[in-house]
Amino acid sequence: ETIELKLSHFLPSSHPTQKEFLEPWAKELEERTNGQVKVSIFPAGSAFGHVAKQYDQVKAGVVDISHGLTGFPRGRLPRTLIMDLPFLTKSSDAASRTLWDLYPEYLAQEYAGLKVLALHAHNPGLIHTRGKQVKSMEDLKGMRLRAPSAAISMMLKQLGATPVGLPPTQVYENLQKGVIDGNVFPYEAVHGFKLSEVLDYHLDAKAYTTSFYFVMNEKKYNALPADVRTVIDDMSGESLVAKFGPWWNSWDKPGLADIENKGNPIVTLSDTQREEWRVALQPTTDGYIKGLEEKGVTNAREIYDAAVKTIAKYEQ
Amino acid sequence: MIDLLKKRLTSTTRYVAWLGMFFLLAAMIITTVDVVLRKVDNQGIYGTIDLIQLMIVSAAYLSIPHAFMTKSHVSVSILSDMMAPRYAALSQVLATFLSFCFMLAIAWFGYAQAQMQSEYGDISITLGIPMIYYWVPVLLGSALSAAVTVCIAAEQFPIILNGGPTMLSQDK
Amino acid sequence: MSSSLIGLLAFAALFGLIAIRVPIAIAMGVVGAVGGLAINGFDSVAFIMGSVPFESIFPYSLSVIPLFILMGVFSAKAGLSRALYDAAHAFIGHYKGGLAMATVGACAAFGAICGSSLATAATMCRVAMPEMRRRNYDDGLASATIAAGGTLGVLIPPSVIMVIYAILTEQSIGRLFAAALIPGLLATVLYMVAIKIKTARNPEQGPADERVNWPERIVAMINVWPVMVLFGVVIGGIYAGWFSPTEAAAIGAIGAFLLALFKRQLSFKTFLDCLDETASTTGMIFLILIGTAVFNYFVETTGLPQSLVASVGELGWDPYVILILLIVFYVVLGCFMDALSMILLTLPFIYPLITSLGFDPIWFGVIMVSVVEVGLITPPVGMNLFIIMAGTPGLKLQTISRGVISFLFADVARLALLILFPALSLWLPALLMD
Ligand code: NA
Ligand code: NA
Repeated sequence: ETIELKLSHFLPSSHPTQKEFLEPWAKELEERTNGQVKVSIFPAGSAFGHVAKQYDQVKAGVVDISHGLTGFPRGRLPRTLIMDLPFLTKSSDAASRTLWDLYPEYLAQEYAGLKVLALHAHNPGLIHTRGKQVKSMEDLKGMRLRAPSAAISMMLKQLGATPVGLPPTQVYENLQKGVIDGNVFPYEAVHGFKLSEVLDYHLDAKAYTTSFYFVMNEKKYNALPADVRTVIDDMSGESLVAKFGPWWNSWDKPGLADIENKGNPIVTLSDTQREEWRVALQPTTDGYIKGLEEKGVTNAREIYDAAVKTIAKYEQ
Repeated sequence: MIDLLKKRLTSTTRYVAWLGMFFLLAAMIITTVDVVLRKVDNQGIYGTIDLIQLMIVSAAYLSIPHAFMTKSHVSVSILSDMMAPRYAALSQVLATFLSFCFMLAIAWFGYAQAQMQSEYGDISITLGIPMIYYWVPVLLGSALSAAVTVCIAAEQFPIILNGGPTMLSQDK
Repeated sequence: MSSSLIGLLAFAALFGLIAIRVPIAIAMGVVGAVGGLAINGFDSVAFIMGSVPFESIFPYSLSVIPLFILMGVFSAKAGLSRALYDAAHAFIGHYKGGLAMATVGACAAFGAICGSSLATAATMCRVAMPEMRRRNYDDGLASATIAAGGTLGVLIPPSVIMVIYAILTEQSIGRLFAAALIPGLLATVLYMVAIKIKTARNPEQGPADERVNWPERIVAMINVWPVMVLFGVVIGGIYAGWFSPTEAAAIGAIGAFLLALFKRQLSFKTFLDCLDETASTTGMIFLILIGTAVFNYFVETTGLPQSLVASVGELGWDPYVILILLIVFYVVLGCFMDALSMILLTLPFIYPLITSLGFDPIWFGVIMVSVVEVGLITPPVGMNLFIIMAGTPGLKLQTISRGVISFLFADVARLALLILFPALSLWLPALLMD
């Protein structure tokens, strides 16, 4: 008898997350278990593809495995979400490995009832604009930018810009019409949402990252035959986490190529400049951490400091 | 008895719908003020989208019972127009029974979901409004809709018993 | 019992329930939930019933619908739409079906700013339906005109569905918008032709009035200026990038409210009537969105659409025969499902098939958007039909379905032209972007 596993995620079926990570992962699992296991994938737009439902549905056992975004629903995974604070990391690899290092001691309590297969984060995002070039913090004043998360909304607000919340699919149209002046995204999403067509300037500030979880329902995992569990263990954890850095690097390439083909200027912040931004934004970061502490994450500061330290180790 | 119940429910659903429309008007005003402020001093209202979503969810769910009461939910009457009043009333009872089940299921399972989100402390994306506020109109609207369907079904029983004239001809 | 068999039984049950006058939203929701129970078990359905009715209402993009309804209701109550149709009547009222054609034109203009068929149909219904009734237009013709005209909301760019298609297939959004422009205008013209033919054969459906002389025309124009200003601000503002469609809907609603107040057409009683009307329509549309979402969850887990597409692909027939089979498949599926779900569900399977047959992806995007929009006006489940029924007292599905037939012919003619002459879609993007 074959074991059917439902795997859900919130990205379109055309996204490299499905094509290069989830589909090959599922196929390898099927092959290495000699067909004992069959995996069906439910992407965005499917019954189980809602971004805010990933955590609940895998925990309820409606699906068996899920790849979700730490920030949705907001408030659910506040400890993991600390990784999404501005100017914390410069690479997906360091961020992903750091998350995995922090997981046992600091993050595990957020995943009760779940077998965590991997945590990861994308390469830090850029500030993209249309019409007006942004090179410094002052340039952002009075601009309307689409923000990907609460932390980035706060950052933009502090810098005098107006953060706008929009579904990613509506960014193109609103940029084109001038309703917003820009957005904050990694290269990968610039390609995914075809945004180079309507953008003119790019500031590679390595401003923020977004973290993701890849988890399995714990009961389901425990009910699997021992040999299947061994295969899953082998295909998850550190060995899987190590793959995300290279993956995100290659997923960023089409976005960068789109921008270069169009001939848009890209300005990259030096480490010194990034440090100036980070220091300027420290009040926002501190306020955010204080908010977490008030909401019961009493060791938020400790987690943040541990993240800073671990990232520094990996970014050397 | 049924008449009194119907009267009460009709006015309740209407007031609830007006409350929903009050939220829609608020959404209209907030959106407009946001646009005007941003033209005037380049700063809109922070977190407009969170607010609008709350108001639209409220407008939608608080309107649904009113739409049941005013028989605005679209249905096809080809067959029941040809039926004898008694059988038309019977099919109407079945229709309202299914409506009752569906709306009650939304309220029932929604309540469990709402409770869980509240325990987790889920909040809205920009402003951090507790998600439980978004659930209040959903639960209220679906539970009230279920109550309305009971009342509509009760109206049909005299027709089934007496085979008397039906009010169906007035409906859409 | 296999999932596919359960799927087929469910479609039969849906038909049966709709036939005995179960509200369509409820029929879809109940069949979806019970079918889901049969395939996926209780836990899955419990989860879906707890989350889908919430999440299907939650997206910010939906707020455009009740706001435009509100604008339409205020416009109708304040006599704004009457002034508009008086002006249109003054100029083209002496042509048979002239007002219906004007309605199609207005839908096209509205479609150029708004990306949603539902919002276009809901707004235009409030504005146009009472006016066409007042001028003794046939209910079937008038309502079907608005239903078909509503699809121009998606057929004329910008449109949400095109954006989703482009993202899923890795195509340029700008290119697809450019490709859809001429086909969108073609749809507009063909709808007008359909009205022309229909009213030529049945003049009583769209009665011609006497020609209005120029002094009266000028008076009508003067009366209509506040409305023109309002619509000008709403449409022009979106083009100029002052605000998004949702914001335009809010501003339009406030504008219509203020105009109504200013013209002393809005007593407190009328104001409450406006709220009642908006609430009924809003509640009805959103309940359909909920029912459809639950039904789609079920259809998808049956795997029925995917396996149908796959089996068509395995036939190995002539590419154009396969294309036509797929179009027929979408039109049939569109009788039960909404456009966006169909695209999301089937595109991952259909797109590789289409490109392997050698068809152009942008061209197919235009075809696909056209085909799923046909589903909005085919009975028994056609979202645009429902919206107009909700906004029009006494209108039956039979009546609007009868009226919609000539517009379906226009859709078939357009699809044939688009397939025979790919340049209709591909010339403009090549001109603008290469
Ligand atoms: Na449009
Ligand atoms: Na249809």
